[in-house]
Amino acid sequence: MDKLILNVDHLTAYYDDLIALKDISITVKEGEIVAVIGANGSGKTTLLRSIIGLHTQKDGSITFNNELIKDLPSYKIVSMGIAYVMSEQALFPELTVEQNLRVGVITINKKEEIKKAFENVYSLFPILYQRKNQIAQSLSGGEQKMLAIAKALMMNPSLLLLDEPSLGLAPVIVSKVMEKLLEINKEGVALLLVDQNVQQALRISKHAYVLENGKIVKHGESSSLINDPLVKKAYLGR
Amino acid sequence: MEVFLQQVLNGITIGAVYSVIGVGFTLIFGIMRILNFAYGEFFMIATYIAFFAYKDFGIPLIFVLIIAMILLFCFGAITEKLIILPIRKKAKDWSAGVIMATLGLQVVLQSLALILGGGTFRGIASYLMGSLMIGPLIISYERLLILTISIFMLIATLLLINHTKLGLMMQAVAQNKEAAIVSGINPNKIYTISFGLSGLLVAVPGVLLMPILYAYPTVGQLPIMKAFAVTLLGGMGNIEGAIIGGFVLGIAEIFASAYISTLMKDGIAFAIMILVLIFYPSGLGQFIKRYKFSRSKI
Ligand SMILES: Nc1ncnc2c1ncn2[C@@H]1O[C@H](COP(=O)(O)OP(=O)(O)O)[C@@H](O)[C@H]1O
Ligand SMILES: [Mg+2]
Repeated sequence: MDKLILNVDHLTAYYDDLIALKDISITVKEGEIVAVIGANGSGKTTLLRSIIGLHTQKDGSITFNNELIKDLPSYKIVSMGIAYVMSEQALFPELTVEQNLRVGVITINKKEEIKKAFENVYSLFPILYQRKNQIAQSLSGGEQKMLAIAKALMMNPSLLLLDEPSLGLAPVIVSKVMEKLLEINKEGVALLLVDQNVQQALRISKHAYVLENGKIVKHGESSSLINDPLVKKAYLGR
Repeated sequence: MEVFLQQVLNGITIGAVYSVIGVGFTLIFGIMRILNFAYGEFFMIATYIAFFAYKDFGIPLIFVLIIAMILLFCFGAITEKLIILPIRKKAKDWSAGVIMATLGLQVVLQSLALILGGGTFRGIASYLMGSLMIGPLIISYERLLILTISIFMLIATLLLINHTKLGLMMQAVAQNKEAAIVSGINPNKIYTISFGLSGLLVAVPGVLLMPILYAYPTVGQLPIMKAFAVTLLGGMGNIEGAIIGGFVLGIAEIFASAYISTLMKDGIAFAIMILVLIFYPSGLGQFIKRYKFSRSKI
């Protein structure tokens, strides 16, 4: 259970002259939930995009299950078992719910595996089954978020990267999404979650990192960070 | 009435050809957001292949068609890999650069054709004699063949896009490239295949119109004009729209030349296009509920 799956080591990321991440090191263990919290513009999205390979201007090392993935193209990285849920525009807006999910298993050829993935996802999100023939963009915000997560799960990942899963959702829906994430984690999927909703992120995660201006300024157990004076003051408004 | 029906039939035949030409052109815009200005030259290459294969080698027409489709698929795919991919890799905002490159390719291919083949028109009078009478209507076997194969190609394209794994991947890349990438799709592959399919589609009229549009270095100018018109009529990147647009254009042209003047043929057709765009800026395709590819306006 303590096996290290993701190891981000001394990662620096750029946008040409701008340094967005400075010498970041983060680890995720098998089946664990890790949160990265930080204000808008602190570099959370850049971190996830660097891991998944969508952001290529970077130095340092990123390994997944001891394999160096830093310079692989995204479509290869995802086939190794990392899935990514973007904060917005994660879906194919004109495809139906079912077609969106089918794209999630596009690289899988075995019929049985595909069937299992659908069953698994529909039992986790019954609402998506009800809406399976609806166009993705006609879903509500919460349903779209569920679909984005479900689409990523179709790939049967061992690590799920989530960019602001609570962004733009009503508080009731946020709690629902968080419950689903805990359920997913119970199935053994590790989560690396970045969020501005610090309270929720710290509540469901085991470990957390605090990102400020592209640097990690603090990390530790989420339960202790939630009581940390600095975190309280800066992010929890208390 | 009979004259009218005959005109409609003629319009549908030409319309089917325009639809095929338009679909091959709009497909690339829908998936890649670029215009391929060398599209007419893809057509031109097909006319040369058709002429030499059919006239000089005496290969039966149906095999000529298949050969041309395969060769143009390869030519499209190679164009993408050799010219467009390198530009896409270097520039982040590559639309303009790629469009300029296809403009350049257009001129290069025309010049090559002129150097290799000279300025001779190469064509044949007919590959199929005789006509079919349906009551008062008459359609030559040649036109019937053109109509049938064109409609077959349109149906095959729709089936490919809507009911195959490749089609789903094309839609995914077109609608949200990054989401497609993180689903494990290599968009470069999809772009290459799409360019190939575009070439394959335009090869069909390139071969079948052999008795009408002779092989000549600048023979591609007419088809690309039609491709533009059909694409705009149907809504940029909209496949179903292009199919409708092709038939609308074909029928409009026939009526314009029958009832007004053959001189007005192209003028009327484009006037209709402009009118449609004034009232429906995103083309006739906006009546289609779901866009498979791009939803961007002109
Ligand atoms: N495409 C881009 N081009 C240039 N700078 C960018 C780009 N995307 C993000 N940045 C910059 O990188 C920094 C980190 O951004 P981001 O990773 O999006 O932060 P977060 O997700 O925490 O809000 C910010 O200063 C932002 O302005
Ligand atoms: Mg962000």
